[in-house]
Amino acid sequence: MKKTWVKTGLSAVIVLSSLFLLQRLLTPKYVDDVVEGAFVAEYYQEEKDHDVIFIGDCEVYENFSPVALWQDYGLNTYIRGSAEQYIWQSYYLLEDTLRYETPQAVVFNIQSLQFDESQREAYNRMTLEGMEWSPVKVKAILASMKPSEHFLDYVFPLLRYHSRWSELSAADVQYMFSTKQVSHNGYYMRVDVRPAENVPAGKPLADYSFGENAWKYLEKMTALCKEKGIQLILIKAPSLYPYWYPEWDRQVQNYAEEQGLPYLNFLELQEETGIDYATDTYDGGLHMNLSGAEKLSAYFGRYLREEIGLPDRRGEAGLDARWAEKAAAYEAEKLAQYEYYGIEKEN
Amino acid sequence: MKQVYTLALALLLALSLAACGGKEADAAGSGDSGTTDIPSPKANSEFVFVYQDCPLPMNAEIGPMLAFLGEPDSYFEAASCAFDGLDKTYTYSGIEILTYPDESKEGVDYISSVRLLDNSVSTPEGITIGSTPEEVTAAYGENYEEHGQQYTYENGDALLSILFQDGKAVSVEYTAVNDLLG
Repeated sequence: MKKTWVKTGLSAVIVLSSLFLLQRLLTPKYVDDVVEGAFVAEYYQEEKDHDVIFIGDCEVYENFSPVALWQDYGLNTYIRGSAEQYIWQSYYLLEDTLRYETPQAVVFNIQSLQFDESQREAYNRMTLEGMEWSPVKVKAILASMKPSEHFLDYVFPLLRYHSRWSELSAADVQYMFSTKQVSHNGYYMRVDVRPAENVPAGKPLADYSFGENAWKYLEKMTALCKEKGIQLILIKAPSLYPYWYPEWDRQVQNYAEEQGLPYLNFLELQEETGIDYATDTYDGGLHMNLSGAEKLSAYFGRYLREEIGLPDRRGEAGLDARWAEKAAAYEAEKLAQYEYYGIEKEN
Repeated sequence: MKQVYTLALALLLALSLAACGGKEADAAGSGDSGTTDIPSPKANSEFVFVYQDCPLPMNAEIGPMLAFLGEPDSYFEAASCAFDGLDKTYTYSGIEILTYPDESKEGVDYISSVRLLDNSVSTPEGITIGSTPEEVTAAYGENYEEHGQQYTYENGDALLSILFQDGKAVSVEYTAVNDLLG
């Protein structure tokens, strides 16, 4: 009898282990091409005593450099960004962040207000899969799923990725049980240049009003920040495309005024930031390259210090050492990218 | 012995799960092979805009049409936030064509929308910028979905949306109905 139980137990262990290994193998690793899928998870490896947390889509993780904010202003910041991060995901990433730390300021890029429901499962997964399991993650999944998605697929990703056999690469094996750092405190670096040209104007819309669901999560975000004593700052990054309608901007302005929140539309601050769309973008005006991100950070860091009153923490022994290490990795990637893109080193 | 069978069965199940899944269906109809003859792409809708004799069905591969139409007046491409491939915008006199990439076939793009920019062009049914709601319903009927000042007709894998302001069409646009586009 005992022998039977041992055999049964052993078989169960072998089956579960096999399924676990299969799941590890088949789940995307986001370490090579589409690295954006790895950003959310990287946060959990950090020491969590940030002054500022950015939340939002590619308009935050490609446009602001935490290393520059530290070096120029002594601001300890982290970007919790992900590809096409919907506002309900931003809200739950904020809740998730508050499980670990309470920053003095949260910066939210309002581009995602235009969406009232999730648009693509792939974007959902790139944000949600990297979140650590907690009731917050469960709420984030439930708020994000499209009708065709299933909650269990998030719990057991093997159910979703079982057909990835044909796409497996060496990285899937190499990073089965580990990963590599792909961002700099959530910042995605690109040093190449492609000027903005022929950017299409926005087409007329039937309705410029943001949806109820989008508003609901902005209100929840505002309320949560107020409750925790966090300064919420709304921004619109200076990305020229997708088009940001004046009708949308007015709604954000009105909301910010009603709530007493600062709102900075960087599309209207080109002169102040010094952004040059001929040199400061790597993809025709959608996202800033390193030069653009450092210019924006120079302007925004000053704003955070002088207008919001955040402290300069340079000189704190632990932080200095931590950021020295981060700056070294940042410089190394800079050089590697200059070489890769065949760009003469600046300065 | 029973456990061994159970184990084998479970692994077989796991492997079959892994092997099934199938490839996603191709997104679109096929086009010609890039000659300068008038392309005759497969259309899955009655709503097909025709530009300089060239049909532009939604979800059709754009390559043969571009070969026929020649250089656009302007071109813009936008990397998807994170996906391989580019969303592309081709502007010709009077129209703007948007495409989306096929993630599984490099360099292959499909039409996601065609928008009329002025009244130098019109739909095969005669609707253009400046048309009235009465002209639109005479051309396409009453079976539309109304969203504010916009009438949207659906047929096959295409939507035709006409937006009015002050009683005149200010936007006439064909858009692809396709799960890949979200």
